Amino acid sequence: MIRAAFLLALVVVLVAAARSFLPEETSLVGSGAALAFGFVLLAALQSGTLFAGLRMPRLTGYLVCGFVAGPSVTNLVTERMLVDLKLVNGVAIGLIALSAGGELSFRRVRARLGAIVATGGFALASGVLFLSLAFLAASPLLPFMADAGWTQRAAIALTMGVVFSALSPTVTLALLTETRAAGPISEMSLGIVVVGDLVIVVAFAAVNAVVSAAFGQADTAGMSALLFHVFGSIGAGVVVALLLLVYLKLVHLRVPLFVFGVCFLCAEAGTRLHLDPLLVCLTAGLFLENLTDIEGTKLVHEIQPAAMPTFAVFFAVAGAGLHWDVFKLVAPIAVGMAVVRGGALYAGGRLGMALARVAPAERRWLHFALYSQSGVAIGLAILLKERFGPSGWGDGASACILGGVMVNEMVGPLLFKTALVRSGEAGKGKPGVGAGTSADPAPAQAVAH
Amino acid sequence: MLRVVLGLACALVLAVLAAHPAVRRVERRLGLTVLVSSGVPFLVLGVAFRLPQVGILTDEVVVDLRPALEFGLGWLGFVVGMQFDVREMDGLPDKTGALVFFETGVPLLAAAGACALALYALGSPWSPRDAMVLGACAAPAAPVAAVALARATGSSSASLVARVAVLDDVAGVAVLALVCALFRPTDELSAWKLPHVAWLFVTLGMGGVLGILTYVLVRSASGPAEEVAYLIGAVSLSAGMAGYLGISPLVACAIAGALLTNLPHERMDDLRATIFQLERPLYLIFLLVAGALWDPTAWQGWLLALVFVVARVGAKLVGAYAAVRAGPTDLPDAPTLALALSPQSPIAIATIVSFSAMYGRADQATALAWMTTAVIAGAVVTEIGVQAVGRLRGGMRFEEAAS
Repeated sequence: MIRAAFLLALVVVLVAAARSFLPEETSLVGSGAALAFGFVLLAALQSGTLFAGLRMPRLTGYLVCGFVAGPSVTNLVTERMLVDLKLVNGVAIGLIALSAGGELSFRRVRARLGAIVATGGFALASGVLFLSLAFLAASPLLPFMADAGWTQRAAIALTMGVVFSALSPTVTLALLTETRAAGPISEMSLGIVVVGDLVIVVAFAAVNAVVSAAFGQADTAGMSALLFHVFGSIGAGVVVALLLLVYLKLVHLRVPLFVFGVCFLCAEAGTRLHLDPLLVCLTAGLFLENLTDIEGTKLVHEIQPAAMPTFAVFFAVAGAGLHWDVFKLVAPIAVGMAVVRGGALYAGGRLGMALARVAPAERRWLHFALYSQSGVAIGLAILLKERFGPSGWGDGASACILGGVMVNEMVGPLLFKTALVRSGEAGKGKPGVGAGTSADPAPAQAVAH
Repeated sequence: MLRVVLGLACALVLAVLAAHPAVRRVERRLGLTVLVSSGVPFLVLGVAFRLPQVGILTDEVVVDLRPALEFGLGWLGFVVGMQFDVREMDGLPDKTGALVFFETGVPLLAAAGACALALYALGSPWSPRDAMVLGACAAPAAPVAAVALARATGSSSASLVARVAVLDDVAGVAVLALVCALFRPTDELSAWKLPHVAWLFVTLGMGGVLGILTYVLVRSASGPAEEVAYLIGAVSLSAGMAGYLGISPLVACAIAGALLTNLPHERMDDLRATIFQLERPLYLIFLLVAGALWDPTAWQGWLLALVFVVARVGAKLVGAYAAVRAGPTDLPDAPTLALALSPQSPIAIATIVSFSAMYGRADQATALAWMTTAVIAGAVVTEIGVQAVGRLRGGMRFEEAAS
């Protein structure tokens, strides 16, 4: 820990010194991004070590590090640098999503598919319902909804309910990898959050149509763009999976580098073709694992060395992107909605688990996988802002959701890590193999059969 | 937009394929550098992708790739630095200094002088800075044939030539460091007002601190994966810091790499292997970006390339004769020595690209474009010429000389 603290201090001093060379507002295109990337990676890894020493998730260390270094606090990583890091972040999202998809074998979790669908389904339904009602009830207090009619308020509340119900495959996978957890809770939690977020993204497209109708906008172009965003991404994911399949079968050389390049392409394509890199790579991972004879787990194993820096950069950048000034404005409603969300997901999840007859020991800990939020919720909040900012409510709704995400992003990982440790699944995974995969092949097969 | 994605996908697949061990085996057998064996297609691709009619490497994409360029320069800097193992240098025979002076210093001075005159004659303002950089690009050699022979036969003369080439790279980087200190690229913006010599200390100090940081980081790593993560972070931080301070990432990272390689670490060989393993694909992507930033359309650049090649190779030949007389005893004959040390090192192109990235303001774009053409075209032409002459002579005669 002392070494980590020393290294963190050294990196901070070096970057502060370099940043003092040029005026605050000056930004160098290539060097700024390289400096920010190097700093974020090294500082986040050291912060992760410090937090691990305090028995907290490394991931929380990454987030806190990013937040402190970001524009809201010390501004060592400026807004401009964050924009420059967007592509790096896109690559990180791609790698994480590919790993999450590659880890989720429907064959392996077949016996638990019912539990996954019931738990995830009831949790999400409950989340959307209660959050929509809560937003509707709070609408007179929310400036961006106060002037709208009740039909429009209901439509906005429904949209916000859907977005705010999003889960987090990135946090889940990061914690499973960090704790080397394996077992039924690990497998089910990954299945729930991956499938849950796919459902949320598709549901978001549907509620957009409702909102457009409520506001009298026959926005067919916007809707088709959104549908292309969702289904085009899934289609592109299949193409990426085929590309990886051909490469793995015919070349199978420098796989991590190739996968890294593919994720870079997905990020570039995402920016230019309005596709979602997360959906593209998630689909690719799922396709490879479940519809080909390439084992996604093996692919994940090959890219495992990239996992730690990827998670560190992704979450540190996410932390740096948290805006304290925005959060201060929406803090009461954000905290309130985070509490409603937690309660709704807990109630729905417990009901689903009871109906699916999940073992009581698993029931006790599984719901903790539901509380974290990150990439998808942030992405959808930004989409809300872009699409409905001109309608007068997109900016406020987006700020409100991002404030809530900030709470869930900080609290959720702490809870889930505690659950993994207390349930006894932490440390059961094979070192160097992706999350959810047991050290001993027998239990995994037992689950499958 | 789909074109951009497909174009980049093609480049990616090509980079991975060109980094295949089979390609390296062919290179070693034929005695080719990475530039001629697989680099030229990437340069050409970069130029072609940049054309408005093709529109793959658009301004926006090039801006997106700029951090990768800085990172690539940093990585190449580490490669140069990590070859500089003082313990190996201790084993060099007597009079190696004379060999280095004649084979590195003379071409450096000759190319700098000739190119400065040529640039002036072509209408560019008199600039010692540009001359020094062209000299720095002339110094580094890539004696691939000698390296291959030294590996295959253990020939002592080939081994000596291979080790001298490491010093060539270091000399080139040192001159670039001097340029960065004497001709500051961003001083009008900066909050630091330092005398030029202080910038040399800043450069050395920064490289040293970054080297120590990298050392402490990799020593604290709990496994190879963490080590690679730290290495990537350290290279990126070093490259970014150097760029921020108006120092070439190549220079800062070379100093850091040199320090790192000379500190005790039980996994140092693995670390070196990791750095060298990624060098090739990174270099190929780097060449793609370099191609995109290169404007080969001006005839002046090609004329300058001619002057550069003639001055450089001529000086290598003259230097070889002098070195055989004044240098260590186990050198090959002068024409073989000159032939072995004539192909340009990949560091030369990295040097000119780094220089262009730092000093590439609009008012200096023309001369920079000519200089870039001179170094890139010079590297290709020199190697083709060396290959042709080498084959006419029946190969490099290291063994004969050694015996």
